[in-house]
Amino acid sequence: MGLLIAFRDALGLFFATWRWTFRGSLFRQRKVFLRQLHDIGNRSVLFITVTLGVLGVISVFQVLLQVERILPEFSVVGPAFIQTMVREFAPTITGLMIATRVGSGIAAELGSMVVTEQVDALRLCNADPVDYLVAPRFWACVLHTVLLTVYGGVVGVCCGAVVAHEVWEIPWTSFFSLRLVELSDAASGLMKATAYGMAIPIAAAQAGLETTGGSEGVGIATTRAVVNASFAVVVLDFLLSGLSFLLWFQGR
Amino acid sequence: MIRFENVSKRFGTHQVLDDVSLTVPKGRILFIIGTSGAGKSVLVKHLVGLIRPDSGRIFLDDLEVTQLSEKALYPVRKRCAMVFQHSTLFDSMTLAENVALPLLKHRKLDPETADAEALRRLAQVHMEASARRYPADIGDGLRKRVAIARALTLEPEYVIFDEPTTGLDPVAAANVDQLIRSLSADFGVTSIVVSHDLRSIFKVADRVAMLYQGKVLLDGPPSAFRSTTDPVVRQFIEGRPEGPMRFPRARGS
Amino acid sequence: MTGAFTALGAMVLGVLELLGGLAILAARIGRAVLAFQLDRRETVRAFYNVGVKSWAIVALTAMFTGAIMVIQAGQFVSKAQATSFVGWAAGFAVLAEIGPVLIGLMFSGRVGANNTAELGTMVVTEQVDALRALAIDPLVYLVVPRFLAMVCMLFLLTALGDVFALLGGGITSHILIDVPFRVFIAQVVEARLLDEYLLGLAKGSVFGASIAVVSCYYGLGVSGGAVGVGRAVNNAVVVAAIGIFFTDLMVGLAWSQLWGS
Repeated sequence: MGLLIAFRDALGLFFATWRWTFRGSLFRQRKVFLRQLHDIGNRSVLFITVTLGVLGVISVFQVLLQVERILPEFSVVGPAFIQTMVREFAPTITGLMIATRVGSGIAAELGSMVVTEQVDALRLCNADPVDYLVAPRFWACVLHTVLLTVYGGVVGVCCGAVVAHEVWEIPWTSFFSLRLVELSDAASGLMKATAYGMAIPIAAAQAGLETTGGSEGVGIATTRAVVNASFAVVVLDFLLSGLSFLLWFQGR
Repeated sequence: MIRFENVSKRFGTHQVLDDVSLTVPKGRILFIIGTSGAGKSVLVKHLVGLIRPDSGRIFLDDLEVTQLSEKALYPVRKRCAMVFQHSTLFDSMTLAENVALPLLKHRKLDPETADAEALRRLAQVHMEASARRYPADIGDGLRKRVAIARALTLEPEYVIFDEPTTGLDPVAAANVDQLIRSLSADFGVTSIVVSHDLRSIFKVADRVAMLYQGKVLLDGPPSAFRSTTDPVVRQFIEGRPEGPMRFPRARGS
Repeated sequence: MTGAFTALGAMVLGVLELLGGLAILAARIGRAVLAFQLDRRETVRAFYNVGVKSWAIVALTAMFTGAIMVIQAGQFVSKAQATSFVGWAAGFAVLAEIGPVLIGLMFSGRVGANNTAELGTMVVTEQVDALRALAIDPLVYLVVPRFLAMVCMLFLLTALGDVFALLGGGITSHILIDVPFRVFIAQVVEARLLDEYLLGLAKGSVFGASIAVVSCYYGLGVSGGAVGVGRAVNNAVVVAAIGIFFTDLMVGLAWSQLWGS
């Protein structure tokens, strides 16, 4: 029930963000936007490197342990791994990590501004919090989610390739092959990254702006942001995976 | 008896306490006064080991508190209770559960007995009607009364009150004053009260110490305090905005 | 250039300090658990809170996870004309790897973050000092019950979540890839994935422990009011996520050393 109400409010915030964007919010708030771009990138690059790198290692390790038992040779492992990375794991795990890192950050920041009445002060100056606070964060997050997905995918594949090469002696050239990756896989991955990039800041900002009561309130808002944003990523992943399956796979 | 010997404490570059020495004889009430940020709360927190001094020693009777480990401090804290400035009731518990907690943990009472005892304690501070409510549901002044009741459940020999009457209405404040007085007169409890409330000082205190810029500026009976010629103390008592008093820098700067 | 080296040095020191702090807290918790020091009422309350707060979101997440894995596996098996493998592939991925990790991440967001916020608020409002002043050890009274609750509940939630994940997977395979629900379940059963299921449960408990230590560490370390609480929660979920991935790798490696080949 709480999730449904949050969803409704988030939808409202989503449209308000677009409305302010068309009224030139980004141009007017370009300083905030650039700072957000810098902050979000700075905060996430290392985190994405570590988590996606470890993910690449684990996945290749687990898969090869299984494949070893049923297939005579491993030439398909690299291409299939890259394909799954592109359409599923790079966007989704990056999305979950950004929900954790950036989503909770946005909620903590906005929540602190609400309890210290800075948001009210903005309203008193006739400035809309969506225009000033949400829209710049929204677009910075969209841009970064897409870029970091690409980056995270590369990191994950490279770390996986190292395991494959060092432990199972799969040649680099056989592993780094894009022969299974089709345009539809790339489109599916990109679509997911964009959708997560939009959902995360909205879920987080919605939780942050609805903060009530002192330090306890900020804690609750931050928690809610992480849960709602992560859950949004999982649900969107399901919907978009299903959609791309129906669009590009079943037809053939 | 409580004795502070040359206690100094520094946070970063800010010397909060500078060579403070004070003595409170058994069964007496010491008031510590001073401007906000003068280090009063920091000083009293040393007594139960919540803060450790950089140098100096603190005695509770003949026991040197400053030597004790966190574990060894627990028996001391049962004898020496503290009422915090912001009442610090546990949000997740009802008022009765708050008061019953020390009884459950240290007296090993069963829940029903502890609850009955907690209600009796709450009645002493006129809060029995709200026993089943949560701290968030009642006002600051009422919370403070419950915090006092909680601190007294283990029948401590020493009690520290950090601004017990701040934010209370005059009648409630007079009630607390009376309670502090009777703890001393009827049970021989030794108290330290941190306060801004000049009225309480002259009604309740046996001895008054003023902290100013980390040092003890004046230490004597209330009468000496009233008749002092020290310009800083006079400014404080008379509450004049102008005078020789210099205000402490904000913490961390 | 020196700036970069200073920053790098500061980062290394920060990581070392964090690891040291986590290790000390973990050791203190371990000692208290072994000495069986805990408050029974608080423990019951912690179990209740943790379970009630998280089971619904965990079940939902698990269902979606199962569904996603079936879609992903489905694309491979339909291409290879080997739909009889979908139960094995999706079941394997969910039980051994993706299920525990996603459930762990969700649990960290829901329970771990909440725990940091709660403890942080208690620190900021001096409730933790008040406990100490009442001669009650915050470690025994606050931390140990939460630790036990998180370890046990994440174990149970992983066990429960796996069931929901297979349910979600079965429904999706029925609708999307023409492998009927019952056939899918039969495939999973035939695949003999008990080892993977147990591996997932082992991961769940380890994740629970690391989430608990990290969230308590950040909660008790809060300073600086409401802003500090927000920052602490943010850091706690980030470090917990890194912890989940690293312990996932460790448990996976240890498992393959112990039972592999």
